[in-house]
Amino acid sequence: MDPLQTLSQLAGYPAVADASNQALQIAQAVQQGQLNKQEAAQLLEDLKTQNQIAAGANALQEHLAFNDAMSGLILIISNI
Amino acid sequence: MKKLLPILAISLLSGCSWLQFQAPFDTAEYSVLTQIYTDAETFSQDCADTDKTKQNFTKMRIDARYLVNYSTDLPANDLTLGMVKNLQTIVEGAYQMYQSPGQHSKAYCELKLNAIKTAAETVKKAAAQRRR
Repeated sequence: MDPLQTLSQLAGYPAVADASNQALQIAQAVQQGQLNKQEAAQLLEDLKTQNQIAAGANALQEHLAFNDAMSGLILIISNI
Repeated sequence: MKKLLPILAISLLSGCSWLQFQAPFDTAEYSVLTQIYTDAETFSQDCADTDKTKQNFTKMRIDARYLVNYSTDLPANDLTLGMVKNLQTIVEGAYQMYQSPGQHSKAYCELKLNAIKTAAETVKKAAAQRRR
C-alpha cells in the first residue's frame, strides 16, 4: 500500500479531527509490515465511518441550535 | 402579531416537521458511550496479548450492541442512533477480525482502539450537548 495513496483517501474525510494522523499511522504500519492488507483496509474503512459519525454530530449540533432558536421564538410569540 | 401569523400558519401546514425536537440528554445512553470510550482508552495496554484482546473486543461488542438496542427505542433520537450504529460498525469489525484464526498484529489492535476512541468521543461530545 502506497502511503501517498492512503493519504489521498483522506480528501473525502475532512470532518474527522485526526484523520490525517490516523491515515499516516496506518500507512507507516503497512510499510513496516505491521499490518496485513485486510487489517489496513478495515482501518481505512473506519476512517470513512468516522467521517459519517462526525457529519452526524454536526447535524445534531445544528439541529439543537435551531431548536433553541425556535424555542426562543415560541416563547416570544406566547408572550405577545 | 400580524407578521407572526404567516409563521404560525406555515408551522401548522407543514405539521411542524421542521420543528422536530431531538430526544433530551439520556444518562444511560451517555454512560454506555463513556464506557466504550474508556475501554478503548485502557484496552490498548493489552494489545500484545491476543487472547486478552479478543476478550476485550467481545466486551466492547456487547456494549456497542446494547447501546444500539437502547438508543433505537428512544423517541426523536434518529441523529444519535445513526452515530451509534456507525460506532457499532467500527467495533464489530474488530470483533470479527479476532474471530478469524491466526495471529493478529499489535498495530491493528492499537490503531483500531484509537479509531473506536475517536469515534466514541465524537458521539459522546455530541450527546452531551442535548438538553437536560
